[in-house]
Amino acid sequence: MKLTTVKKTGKGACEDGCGPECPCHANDHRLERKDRGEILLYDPIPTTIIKKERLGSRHTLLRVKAHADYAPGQFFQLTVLGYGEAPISIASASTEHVDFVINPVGLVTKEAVRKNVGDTLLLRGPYGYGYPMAEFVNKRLLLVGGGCGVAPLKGVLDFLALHRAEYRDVSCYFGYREPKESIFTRELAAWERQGVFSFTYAYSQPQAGFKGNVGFVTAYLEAAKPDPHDTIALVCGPTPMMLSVIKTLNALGFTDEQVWISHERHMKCATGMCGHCMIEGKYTCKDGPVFRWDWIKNAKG
Amino acid sequence: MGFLLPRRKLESFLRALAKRHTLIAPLQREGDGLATFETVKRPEDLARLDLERNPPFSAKKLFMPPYEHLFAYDMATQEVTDKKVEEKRRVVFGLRLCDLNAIKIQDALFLRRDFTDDQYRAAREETLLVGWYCNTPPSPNCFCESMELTNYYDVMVRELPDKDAVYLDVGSPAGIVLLEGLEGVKLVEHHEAVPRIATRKRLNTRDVRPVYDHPSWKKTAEERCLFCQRCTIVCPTCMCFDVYDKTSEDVRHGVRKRTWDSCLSKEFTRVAGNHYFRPERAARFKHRIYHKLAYYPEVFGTPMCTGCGRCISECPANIDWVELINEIEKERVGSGTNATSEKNTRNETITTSGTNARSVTGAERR
Repeated sequence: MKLTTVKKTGKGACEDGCGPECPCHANDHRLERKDRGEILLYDPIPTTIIKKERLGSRHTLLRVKAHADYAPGQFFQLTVLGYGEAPISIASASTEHVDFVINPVGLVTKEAVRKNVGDTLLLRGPYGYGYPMAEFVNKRLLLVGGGCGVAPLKGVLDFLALHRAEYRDVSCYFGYREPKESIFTRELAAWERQGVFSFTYAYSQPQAGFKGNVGFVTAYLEAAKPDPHDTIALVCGPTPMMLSVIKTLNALGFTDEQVWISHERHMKCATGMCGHCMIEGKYTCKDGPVFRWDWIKNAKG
Repeated sequence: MGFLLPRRKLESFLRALAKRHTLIAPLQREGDGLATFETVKRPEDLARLDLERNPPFSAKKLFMPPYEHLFAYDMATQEVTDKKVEEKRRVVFGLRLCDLNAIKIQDALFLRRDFTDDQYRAAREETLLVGWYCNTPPSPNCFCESMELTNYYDVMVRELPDKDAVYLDVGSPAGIVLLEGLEGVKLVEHHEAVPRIATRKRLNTRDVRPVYDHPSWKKTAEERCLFCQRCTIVCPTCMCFDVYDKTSEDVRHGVRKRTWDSCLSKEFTRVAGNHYFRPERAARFKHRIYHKLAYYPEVFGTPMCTGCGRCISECPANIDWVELINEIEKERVGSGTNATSEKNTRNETITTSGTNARSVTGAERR
C-alpha cells in the first residue's frame, strides 16, 4: 500500500498551482530523462531545500521538494558533491516533499547541515525495502525508537496519520539520552493532544533534578505490558538498544515474527552491488534496511 | 556446433580477428614478461601471446576498471556533468573457463532486472568472449572441478593435440557471426563435446555453514593472514567497490570515481561515528570465503568462486583456504558433527550481526 504518485494536473503547473518557474519544476526534465534511461544508476538528482529546522540539540531537519513515491522505512542516498554520499532515512510520508533528520556525525552529514533553504541537495532513491504497511492493516502497532531512530518512525507515524482508520492503537516508546535531544516534539505533542497516537518517553541520562521518566524505554515497556496479540513492533535505534528491546518484547510474549528492526550499515551503491552493507547474504540496502527479526536474527558477520 | 582450424593457423585467425575488432588477449608485458590482458594494437603484438599461464590479474578490469570515472561535478553550480558511459565493442580472447564463469557471476549481479549498473553494462554488452580451453590446468592451485562451471562464452578455442588442430566451439549466435567471413581463415565444420576440466586440487565441500565457528578460521586469520587484500584484487569474482569524490585543488570541480574495495579491510564496514560491523579479523577473513561459498549461492544458485586458484597462488602468506576447508571437513567427518559444534560454543567470539558492532574482543587489531 504505497502512497500514490502525484499526477500533474496540466502542463506547466503542478498540484500546488505553481508555475514552471517554481523550483520544483527545475528537475522535471531530469526525472523524465531518468524514465528514458538517460540518467544513470549513480546519478544524483538535484532537489531544492524548502525547509530547514533545528530539532533538539543534535539534529537538523532538511525538507526537500520532490515528487517521490516512497514507503515508510525506505531511504535516500544523499550526495554532497566533493564529500560523498550517505544513506539517510525518510522522516515523512508525502508525495510533495521528503524530510531528512540529519545527525551531523560524518563527513557528508556535517556538510549537509550547513546547507540552507533554497540550496540544492542531490539525492537518488528511494531505495530499500520499507515496512510492509499493508500487512499491518487492522493490527496494533508498537513503535520503539531510540535517539536518531525516532526519525524513520516519524515517517511511519506520518503514514499512519494519513491512513489512520486502517490501523488500530498505535503506541510509541521513544528514548533519548536527554530531554533536549528530543526530536519532533511539537508534531508528536499535537498527535497526543488529539488522541491519534499515544506516546511514552524515557530519558537515560537527564540532568539532575529532572522530573519525568528516567531510564531506558525497556523499563517502561515492561511496566506498560503491551498486549502481544495482533501487535507488530517496529524497533529502530542503536544496535544494543534494539537487542535489549527485543529481549524485553520476547519476555512480554512477542514472537520474532512480530518484531521489525532496522539496521544501519556502510553503503556505497544502495542497489545491492558494492557489498559494503552485507549481513550474511542479505544486503541492507536492497533487502533492508528494515528486517523482520527472525530473518536476520542468526546472521553472522 | 563448431569448427576445426589447423593449429598453425591459430595466429592468422587471431590476426584476422584483430583486423576486424578490437582484440584483447593475454600478452606478455614488455620488460618483465608478466602476462596481462592487453589490447592487440599491432599484429606483431601476437608474438607475445601467452597461453601457458592464466594471467595473475583477471579480465575483471576490462568490465570494471580499478578506477572508474562515474561523473564530474561543478562545486559552484552543483551540476553533475560529463557522465562517461562508453560502449566498448571488442573481443576478448584467451579467457579460461574459470574467468568466463566469473564474468557470468558479475553479469548476474550487475545486470539485474531491478537495478542495472550502466557503466558495467556499457563495458560488457558489446564485448564478445572467446575462451581458451585448459587441456591441462595452468596452475597447481586450480580447483575448478569442484565448482559448477558452465559453458558461458561466444566461442571456446580448444587445442586438439592428436589432430594438430584447434576446435572452435560456438556458444552463442554472436559467436557464429564472429567467425563468419574472417579473411584468410578456412574453417571446417566439426562437432565435438567440450569435456569437463580435470584438476588435481579439489575443494571437498562447499557446505561451510556448519563449521563457521571452527577454531582453524580464527587461527589462520589471526596468525597468518596479513590482510593485504591481494586475494581480493586478483580474484576474478570479487566485485565490491568503493565510491569517492576527488575534488580539484581550487575546489571548483571534481570527479566521482569508483574503485575496487576489499571486504578484508576493517574500514570496509565503518559507518559515521566509527562503528565497525566486522571488527574481528576472523569475521573479515571468513566473510570473503563465506560470501563465495554460502551467501551468494543462496541467492543466485551457483557458487561465487570459480576455482581459478589465483588467491592461493598469489597469497604472500601462503594461505590455502581450500586446504583449510578440506582439513576442517576431514575433522568434522572423522569426529562427527556434534564434537565440532561443542567446540564452537567454547571458541565463540562472534554472535549475531547485531552484537558484532560492540563486541570488541582481543582479536581487534588490524
